[in-house]
Amino acid sequence: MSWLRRLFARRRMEIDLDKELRFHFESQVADKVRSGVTRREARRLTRLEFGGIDQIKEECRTSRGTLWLESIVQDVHYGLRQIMRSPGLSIVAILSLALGIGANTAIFTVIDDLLLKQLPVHNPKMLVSFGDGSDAGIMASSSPGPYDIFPYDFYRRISGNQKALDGICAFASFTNQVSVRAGSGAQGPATQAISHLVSGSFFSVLGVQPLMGRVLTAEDTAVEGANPVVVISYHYWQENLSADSNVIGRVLTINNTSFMIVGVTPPSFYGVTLSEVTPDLWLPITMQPQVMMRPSLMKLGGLFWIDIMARRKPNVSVAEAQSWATVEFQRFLTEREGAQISGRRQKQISGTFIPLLPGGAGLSDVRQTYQVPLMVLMTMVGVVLLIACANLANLLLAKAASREREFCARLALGSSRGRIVRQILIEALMLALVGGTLGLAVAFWSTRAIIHFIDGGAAYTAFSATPDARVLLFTLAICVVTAILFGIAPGIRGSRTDMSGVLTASARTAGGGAARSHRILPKALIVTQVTLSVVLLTLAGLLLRTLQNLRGKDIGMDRSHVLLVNTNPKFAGYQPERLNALYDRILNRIDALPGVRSASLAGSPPLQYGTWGSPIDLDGRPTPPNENISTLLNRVSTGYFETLGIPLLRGRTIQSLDSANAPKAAVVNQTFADRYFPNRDAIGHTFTIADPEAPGVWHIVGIVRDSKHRDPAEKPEAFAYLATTQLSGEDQYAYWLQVRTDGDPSQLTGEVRGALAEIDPNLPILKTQTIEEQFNGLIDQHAFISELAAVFAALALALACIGLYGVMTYNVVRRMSEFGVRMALGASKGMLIRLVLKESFYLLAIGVLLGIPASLAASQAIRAGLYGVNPTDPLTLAAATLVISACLLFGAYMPARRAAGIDPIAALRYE
Amino acid sequence: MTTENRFDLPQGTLDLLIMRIVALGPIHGYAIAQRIQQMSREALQVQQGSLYPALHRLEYKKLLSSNWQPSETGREAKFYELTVKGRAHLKTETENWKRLTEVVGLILKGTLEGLS
Repeated sequence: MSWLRRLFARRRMEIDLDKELRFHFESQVADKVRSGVTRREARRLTRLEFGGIDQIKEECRTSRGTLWLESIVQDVHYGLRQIMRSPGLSIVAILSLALGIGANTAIFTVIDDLLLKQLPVHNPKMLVSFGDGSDAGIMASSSPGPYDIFPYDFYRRISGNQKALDGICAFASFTNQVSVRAGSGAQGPATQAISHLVSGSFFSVLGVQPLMGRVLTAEDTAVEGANPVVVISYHYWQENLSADSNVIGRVLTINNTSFMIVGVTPPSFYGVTLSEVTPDLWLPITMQPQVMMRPSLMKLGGLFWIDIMARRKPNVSVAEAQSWATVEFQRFLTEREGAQISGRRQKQISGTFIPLLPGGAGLSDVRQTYQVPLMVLMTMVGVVLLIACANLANLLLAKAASREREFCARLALGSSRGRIVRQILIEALMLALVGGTLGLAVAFWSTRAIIHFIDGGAAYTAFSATPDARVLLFTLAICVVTAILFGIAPGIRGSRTDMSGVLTASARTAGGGAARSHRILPKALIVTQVTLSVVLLTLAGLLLRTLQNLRGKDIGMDRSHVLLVNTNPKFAGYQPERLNALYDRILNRIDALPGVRSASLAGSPPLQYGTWGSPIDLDGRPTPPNENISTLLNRVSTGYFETLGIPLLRGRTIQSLDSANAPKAAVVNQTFADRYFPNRDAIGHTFTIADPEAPGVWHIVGIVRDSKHRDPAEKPEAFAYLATTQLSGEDQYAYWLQVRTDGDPSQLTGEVRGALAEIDPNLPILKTQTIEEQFNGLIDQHAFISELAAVFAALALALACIGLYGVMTYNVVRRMSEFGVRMALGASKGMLIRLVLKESFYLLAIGVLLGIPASLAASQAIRAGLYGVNPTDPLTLAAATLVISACLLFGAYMPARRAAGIDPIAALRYE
Repeated sequence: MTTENRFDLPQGTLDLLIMRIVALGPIHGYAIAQRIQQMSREALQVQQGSLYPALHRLEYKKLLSSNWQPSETGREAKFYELTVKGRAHLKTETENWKRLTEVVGLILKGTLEGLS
């Protein structure tokens, strides 16, 4: 470690070096004196022979090999002094960087969290998912193409097979909200929890060890309904069970069935789904009838409702495993069909396949929703950072120019040009690191805000705003890249200082002819900033208009003054036969509340993509097999269309005459009527539903307007509304209450809660929200991208303004004496202002001219995310141009006024 | 000072000369310069600008070691000495040099046939 010692002994070595050279010098002088030269002459001659003593010293230091380190320490000291010397400039630089780096880190943290994060399980890279998990719910269909949702018996068929995969697990494609009571009785207050039905192999395939107790095992799901055990999450244990250390063996009553707690998962585990809400309870999949309080989904040839994940074998390729799974699946489907199977059906089956996808990151609908917006935003913040870099380059360039004399002196004293470049780079790096540190703070706060937006303020979520090592590394990397980006130009400029002229010339001439070529760079940077700002502003404008269009979109119903209440009569122990009486009581009671216009019940709420859909047959005719006659379904009570303000076009709505024993009545939407009964009146016709849970012949009694379900921009789909009272069993449950109010619907939440409690105190209120909130949920990702884009565009604009202001101010200061002369010769203030503004105006004009085609190109790239606005929308482009022009001219006006305000005498003396 | 018969040293030769001089015993920088001048009969004059960086480089490579001692005039001077490593290095470098000059000499004399 001698170099380290030498580094600290630097002072000692400097003294030695000096002493050594001085000794040589003195000896040489002494020799000359001895040979008869006068002392004075000897010294002069020796000095001539010696040459530059500092150059010799510098070369000695270089040859010592520790110079790089010593001088970096020196440069850091020096850089610090430089930063302190002009605190205003440094603060602007650091703040610009903090915002630029902060924005990048924030978006990257979210990307890291949402798109890159692996599940907190053992070796997540070896996990594969059967399909992408984008389908969730309970489905009946099977068509050719990729599959990501399966029947339970398919899992049973392959679960024991270890040929291609090391272990296979299954879990419900959805989570269930359940009512939980502590202890085994049905008394006591119930709380709500999120449960997930999983196979016994779930934890072993993922490689998750329990924190306490045990996890589920294969025995727990061997027999249907035989293992009422539950594994709870660490979070649930902490929050709801007071972190009881004797929790193992305690009993929870979940949806009226007693389950014994057998284990607690580690704190980091959040299941296999990265989502807004994470499960509190993991239950054996074989307990599905008890947990969901509905008939078994596990019967042979059952419905499609589970997701499958597996662990790869190291020696089996993904392609091999995939073809194995596909062959098994096709065999399964064929055998399920039974003996006679048509050639067409066989062909359909051979068209199915199972894509085996990397499962290490888990499944996530949130990821699918936000992936593209996040990528667009990441690009935008990258551009913002470029603008910030250009600013800093400009500020440092201006500083480098004013340090010309200093650089010149250093070069003359033996400094190398590389050393000057490095010194400026180190200064830039120091600014970047300080800015980056502040940026981390900015990022931390903004990431929290972004995550709050995505998870809708959920109390507990798998998303985390805390930057991990990858984020910190990312930030460090952008600091370094930034420093190089904005330090390289000033560095090269500083090192190019022409030694001959500058030292002797005055500052005035130094700023003149020789340096003119250097001044092109700052201007080019300003033009680039303007161009990039125009692009960002245009994109933000287009996205904001998209949001505005979606918000203003007619969705086929009156979306104001409606309160939506989610309840579940099952939790209060209601059997289907008692439901109609309950519904009557609820509707009568709510209707009678003051301030309520009407109320209705439905299976699923408006503006939510229903998971209920089925093929249908029209007028008792079997549908030709190549025709896709499927329709979305909902079950509704009387008053549904009136409450939501969905206009009736023909016929009648569901009425109280549609009682349980009356002919079954259905209202269809316009798309249904037009598609299935073109040129005919649909009213009076009938249809039957393939889903065995909605049996009977349904009579079309009315046609209503199309309304939106998933997205304000969607194409309408065929939809049929069935009378709740005429359904039976599972399909008779209505979970959502709609209340139309006179005033602000949220004001009535208390009254509605009270009324429901009066009817039955056990009836749980799972959720209340206004229809406006429900609607906003649909356009969340649009709001997310457009609002953040607007923030980033504003940031870009502010940075560009600061940049222009800085450069123009610098130019004005440089030309003080010139302005003084002009004023002395009779120029008016107005003329000087125009003179300065003209220069800014040219830069602005060039920037905007370049920005227009750049914006057009960029907006083509996001065209898929736009709605109701053309990517080449001239109005948006014009507005963006106007905004940037106004802001930049304002930024340029202040230095112009400063130029006009100078005192000519003072300016001429200025030097 | 006679300047006509001075010439530039080939790259790397200076290091060899310095080590050769230092091999004779502890010696300071000024004396090394003088010794080279004397031994080359005034033909070589080493500039301070080359001498000291070379000394520091050799010291950094641990071929030379140094310590401060009073000089002949009584003033403290930095005396250089060959290290063990330096001595070995000098030996191989001297042999290399000899072979090199021999071969170069042969070629330049044009008596290449004599070799084969």
